[in-house]
Amino acid sequence: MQTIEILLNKFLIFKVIFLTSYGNGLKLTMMFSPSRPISQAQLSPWEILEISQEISRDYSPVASVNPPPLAAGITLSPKEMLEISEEISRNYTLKISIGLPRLVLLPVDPDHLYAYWNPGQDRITPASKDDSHEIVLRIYPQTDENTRTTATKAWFDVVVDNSQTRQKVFVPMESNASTYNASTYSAAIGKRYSDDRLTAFATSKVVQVPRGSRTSYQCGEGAVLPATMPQVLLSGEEKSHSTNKNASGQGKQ
Amino acid sequence: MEKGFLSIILHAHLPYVRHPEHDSFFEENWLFEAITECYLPLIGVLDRLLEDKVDYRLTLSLSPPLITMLRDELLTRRYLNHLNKLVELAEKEIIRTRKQPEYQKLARLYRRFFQNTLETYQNQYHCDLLSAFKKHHSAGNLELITSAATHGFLPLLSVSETAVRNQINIGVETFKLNFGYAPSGFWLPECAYYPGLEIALGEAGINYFFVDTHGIMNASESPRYGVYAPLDCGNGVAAFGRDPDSSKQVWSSQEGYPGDFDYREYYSDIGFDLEFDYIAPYILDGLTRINTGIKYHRVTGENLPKEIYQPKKALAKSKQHAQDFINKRQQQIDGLSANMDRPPIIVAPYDAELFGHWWFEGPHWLEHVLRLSGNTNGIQAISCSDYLSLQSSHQLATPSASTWGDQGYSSYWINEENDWIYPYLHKAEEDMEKLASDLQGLTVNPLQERALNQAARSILLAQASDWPFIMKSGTTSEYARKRITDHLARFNYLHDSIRKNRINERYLIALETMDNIFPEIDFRDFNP
Repeated sequence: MQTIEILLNKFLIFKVIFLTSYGNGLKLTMMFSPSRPISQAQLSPWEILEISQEISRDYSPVASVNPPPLAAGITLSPKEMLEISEEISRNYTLKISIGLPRLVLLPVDPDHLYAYWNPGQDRITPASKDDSHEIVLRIYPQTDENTRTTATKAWFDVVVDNSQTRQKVFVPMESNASTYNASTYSAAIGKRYSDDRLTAFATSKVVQVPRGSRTSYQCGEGAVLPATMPQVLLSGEEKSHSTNKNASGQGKQ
Repeated sequence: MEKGFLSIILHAHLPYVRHPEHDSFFEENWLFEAITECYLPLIGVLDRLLEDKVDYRLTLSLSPPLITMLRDELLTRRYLNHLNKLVELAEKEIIRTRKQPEYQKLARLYRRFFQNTLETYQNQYHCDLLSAFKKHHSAGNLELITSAATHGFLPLLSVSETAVRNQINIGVETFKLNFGYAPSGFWLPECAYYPGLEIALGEAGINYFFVDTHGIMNASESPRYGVYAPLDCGNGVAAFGRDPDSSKQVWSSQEGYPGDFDYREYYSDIGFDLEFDYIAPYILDGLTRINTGIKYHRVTGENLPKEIYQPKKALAKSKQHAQDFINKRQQQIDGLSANMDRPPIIVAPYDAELFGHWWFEGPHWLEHVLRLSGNTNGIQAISCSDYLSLQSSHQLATPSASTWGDQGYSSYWINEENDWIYPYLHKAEEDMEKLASDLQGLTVNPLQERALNQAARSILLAQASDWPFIMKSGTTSEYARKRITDHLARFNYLHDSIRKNRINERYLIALETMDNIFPEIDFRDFNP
């Protein structure tokens, strides 16, 4: 048994693992070996203390942020580094592979969501004459079942252009609070047919927009103290942000 | 017992800008200007307060990119070079202004200022400002906290919990590596919070963080004391809210102190005002005019010819403004404490770079505020850690999602100027996590390990909130675009090389040398 284990370990060390990437369907290869088990060496308290002190002495608190020593024989001039940097930027320009269909929903503010999507292999094709449909982003407010009336449609659609892959979505106030009593949403993107049926390419995770109101925030209506606190203290109310803040030195010029 | 407390927090952050592939690089000046005009003057303030045995408390948040740059040998060398050029320029200015005594007096002041800066930086602090801050922490006056690894805008990275966790944990680890202890507080980049973030903060050992006013006011429960007491997010992590009044007095472009007519005018700089041939050796590549830091005029007033700057008058004004600031905080506290069962805390956070860079007299103002808060009846400067240790329990509630940016939410970081970055950022994070997950339980060789760690650095550097911010603000947006695309391209290159097991060490060394942040990073932390 022990012999078999040793043989297996040796085999694993030189094992070649083939991994298939999701994106481009190419078969890519990585070579790695499995971890060895950690030996359980017994140390006396004195030895542990000595090691601890040595580590504290030698490694705390100043860290070197400078690069590790270069491999023997390799030194790079600024020009060479620049060339490598430019070559990588040139050859690895950003592209999103077709991959799997995907829809990502991001909360922006109390009134807006942001969606981007990748239709995947099932590219969104223009509607044909005899195939009457349009591409929509269907937004589902996550409703409170106790408050929703049966007459209420549980979603709203945003028609998107075929060429688009992203969209800022206004969340109507009536969906935000009173009708759906919701601040959480999910979405699907797909083909909508005349009977409102949706064939979804991708669906999103649920996201939550911030509580509050962007409008009241802009107007400085958000109270700084609860109503129960004396009014005299509210005299200094003011919107709490400054549009001209420099955000930490950025954009200095 | 104190009637109430004032907690001033300075958040110091600059994006990681370091370009060894160029002999000089304009954007590195952001750091050099901040060291000269903000960080060293701030240390000067702390030194004087310590010498005078002033009992004060101040909180300083140092972001991991800034921590790293302040200890970087290349940037230190370049900064010394920059300072020497400034001394040289000031000397030239003394000669040029010999027939204009008022200007010459200022030129002499600048020479003295730059020489003192050089002396303090090189000889007193041995080019290590972190040790200077640490000294004041050890003295018990300065609370040091930190921020996310590369100042990532966490709400828009939260598509991946791992991305958020790494931004927080690597930030905390960088702080520990450089200061030798764990920070108690955490500055959320751009004060950007979303419900649930407190879990990752708690797991990283963080006790408190800050949100903007509306984050507290729109919390899950109505806050009993408004922004004048922290909320317990439910897991023992406290959220402190920004006081809008103290913010307005400093930030407001209309009413804020920095716009006072006696203060130095930031936009009047000899880099733009003097003849080209004369100033050419001190501007960008001898071709493009930039700020030099030598400015002779005061704000003066709108649509008026700029008048000469009078330092004494400006400093007297900063003292007056400090007194005004403290008086108003006292009034607030008098009103609040009568209606609270605990001493109120006024939380006043600012960008550290405001003080000295944008508002030249800011460090003097701060010094007087701290002196006054140390000996004024009824108001005491405090850190949030101290406040938490004084109060055993806090109202339980979850703040609402919020930021301190324009409009109060995320729209400044996701809009028509910068929204294109998010699919790429999320995809790269996903690829990195997949890679780490595929390698779980496998041993990688040293070269593979280095490439994997470098890929992780590239991801983090691409995630900085600075790039979308700059793209939106429209200043140096080309640079921001290049940085984000370069980091993502570097990630894609490394990812491809690792997957194909064709790692070119020469290329890897180039990337390690250029992006040398987070020496202790472990790609395995990207395993979800």
